[in-house]
Amino acid sequence: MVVPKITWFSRQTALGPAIAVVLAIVIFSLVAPGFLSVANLLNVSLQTAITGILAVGMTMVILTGGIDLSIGSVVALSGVTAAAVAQSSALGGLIAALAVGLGVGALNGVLVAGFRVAPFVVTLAGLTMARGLAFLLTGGRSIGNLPPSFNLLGQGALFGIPFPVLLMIAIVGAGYFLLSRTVLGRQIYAVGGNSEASWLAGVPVSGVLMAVYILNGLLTGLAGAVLAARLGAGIPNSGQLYELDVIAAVVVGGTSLSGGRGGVLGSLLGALFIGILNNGLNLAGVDPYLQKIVLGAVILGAVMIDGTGQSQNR
Amino acid sequence: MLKLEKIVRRFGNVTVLDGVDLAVEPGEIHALVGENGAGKSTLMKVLCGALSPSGGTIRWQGNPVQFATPRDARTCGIAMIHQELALVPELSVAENICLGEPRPWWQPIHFAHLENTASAVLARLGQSLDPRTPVRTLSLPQQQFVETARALFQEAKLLILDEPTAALGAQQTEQLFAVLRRIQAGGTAIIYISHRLEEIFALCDQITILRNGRRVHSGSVKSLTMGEVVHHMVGKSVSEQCPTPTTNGAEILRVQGLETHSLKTIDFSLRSGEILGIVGLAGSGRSRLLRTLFGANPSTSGTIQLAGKVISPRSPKEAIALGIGLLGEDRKRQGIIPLRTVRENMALGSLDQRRRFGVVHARLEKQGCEDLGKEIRLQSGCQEMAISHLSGGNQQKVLLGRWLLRGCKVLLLDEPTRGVDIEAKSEIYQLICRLATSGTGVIVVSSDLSELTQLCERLLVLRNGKFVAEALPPYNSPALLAQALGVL
Repeated sequence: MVVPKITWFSRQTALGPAIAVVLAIVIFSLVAPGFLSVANLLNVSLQTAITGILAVGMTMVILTGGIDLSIGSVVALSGVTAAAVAQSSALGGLIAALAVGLGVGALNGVLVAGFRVAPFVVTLAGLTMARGLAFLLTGGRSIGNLPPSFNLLGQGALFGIPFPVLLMIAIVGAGYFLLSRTVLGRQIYAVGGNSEASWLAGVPVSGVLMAVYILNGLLTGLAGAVLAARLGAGIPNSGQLYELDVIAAVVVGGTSLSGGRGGVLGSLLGALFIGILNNGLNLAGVDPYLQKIVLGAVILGAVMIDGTGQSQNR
Repeated sequence: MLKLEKIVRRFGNVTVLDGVDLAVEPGEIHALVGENGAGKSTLMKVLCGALSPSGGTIRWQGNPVQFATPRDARTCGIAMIHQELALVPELSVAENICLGEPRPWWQPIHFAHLENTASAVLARLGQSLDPRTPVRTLSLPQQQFVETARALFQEAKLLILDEPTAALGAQQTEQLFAVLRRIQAGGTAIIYISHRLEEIFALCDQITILRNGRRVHSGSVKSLTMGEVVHHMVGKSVSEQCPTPTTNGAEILRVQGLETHSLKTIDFSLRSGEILGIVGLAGSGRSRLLRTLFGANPSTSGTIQLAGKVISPRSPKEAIALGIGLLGEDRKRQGIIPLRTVRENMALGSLDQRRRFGVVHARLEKQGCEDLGKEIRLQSGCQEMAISHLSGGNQQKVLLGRWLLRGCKVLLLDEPTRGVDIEAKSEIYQLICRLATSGTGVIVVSSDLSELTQLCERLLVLRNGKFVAEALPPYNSPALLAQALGVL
């Protein structure tokens, strides 16, 4: 009997997405003029940065068998909060955004882990409530005129690499370390793989879920601040449908929606893949309406080809 | 009417049914008895098409038949009523009874017709339920009648009932029996599975007794006494191999007056190094007892003392920290994390002993798991495999290893060898004995009586949430079973 071993790669489930990213780069280099330039690739990575940051938190949530639909709205809510506070203090703005994310994450966590409400329902409610709150706080208007020191978070660069991209890399690194090396990471996989067995093995299941939703909230808050800084304004209707982009990235990255299997490297590659596709199709002059159809089909295809997630779950 | 000939069913290399014969005539109530694991459920699954036999023939009204799906068996007129009823709670009695009616999907439902049909069927059972009542508002026995009525409506010629009285009181049981006798009088055959021997003697005509996947006796109920039935179920009357009691260890666990909603004043103690067995039927509270000691279920009163200190674990995590381990009865649901490696599964119970600042100490973990893997004789090189690729026996060894790796004062084992091959079984026995020798107190719950008599130096018999007897070797297996069944 040939027994598949779990190796570094199969554990990350990142081989498929990596191939997809390489293929996409090769194809667009050939067909899309100007795709393969340093400036454009930096642009792609900047476009991907916020999705990438959000995908780390979402990966952890999905690994436990949950989902978070509220992140787009929370990005807007923390963005406008950050913009409001940043008028007086740039650092304060960042902290305020993180606090908003933390608060929403903790609330989600309490409802999911404490009251055992389905994550889909909790975060669906959060989706509309957070958006409503963002509009309520701003009266529907954008908050602009942010201090340059705050905007640096979204617009600055180090050695030519935009801050958001550096931030994304750091967070993916930290997420990878957390999931692969720490006790919490081990417990996240265990809870997602079999929550009752984990509980009987002494894993504090509620605590793990709580931690995951809080971490996800913090990252969402951070993404909100980064987005506000990039746009130079806190905009209450920003971040629409981010949750779908991020879930697509995580799923394309090989993380199983039923939990217990996947990782953040895959999600990063998934986010990159979708970013490259958006950018490349644009440069190749594909009709924007057609682009949406192609994107959907490619996501479906990528997940079906990767299919390992489904077969291993049986 | 029905004839099963030399039915064989294997799961992997385990033979669960080994050439079983069974013949049922129209209008007869046929009892099927045997210990847990004797093969009753498997045989019935084969009969109603949920499992295909590995060998043998099923003859239905003289012709050999093959049931690929439960639907095939239903079409022939074989209906099974499971312990978990298959009713739609939000629909009415009439809708439930007529649920499987073969009608084109586009036809509107004629409610009056539906209700009349349902009333007619219920009348045949001697029941006068309002067919418009929603099923969720009915009592459990009433729901059973509805399911029985559905089977009759579908013109079942053979009805299989699996432990139908498990949740019924004496009066309700009588009601059910009256219904069954009416069905019988109508020419329908019934296969009746039960642990309650007095019911079998009150109701059934014929009896077939299974033991270890073989038919050991078949004949008229009247020609047997209860004692003889028990004898057939257990086999040898004297246990063949007695464990040698170890030297008296210190008392490690003392339970006094422990109660939950299904356990009544449980008192017992366990010495360190002792292997204590609990004999009891499924539903006697045996798993509940272990889970309560482990903090997985709450207790309503009573005290638990571990090494002299009163403890009250409110979660498995707390119990584990105190030095208690539990091997759950359902390996798939309560044991393994299927997608993760053997190493991770093994280390999951003791990550707190192998970490530094929240980071898993990889070297300690790897070393610990590899050493233990050798000790429990896992094949080398399987540490990094997903545990779901291992055989049931090896999975069970890994789960036992989870507690060996941690080191426990008290280890609770619920069905430690269920679904495990012979070789792994004896290895697991050796591991348990070695654990006991090293001073761990072990409590074993098992449906397999011979397992308990081989392994344990003391047995407690649990019936309906109460300890009813204590036994020391040499064991008298029929007497133990009789006490567990409550027939003597």
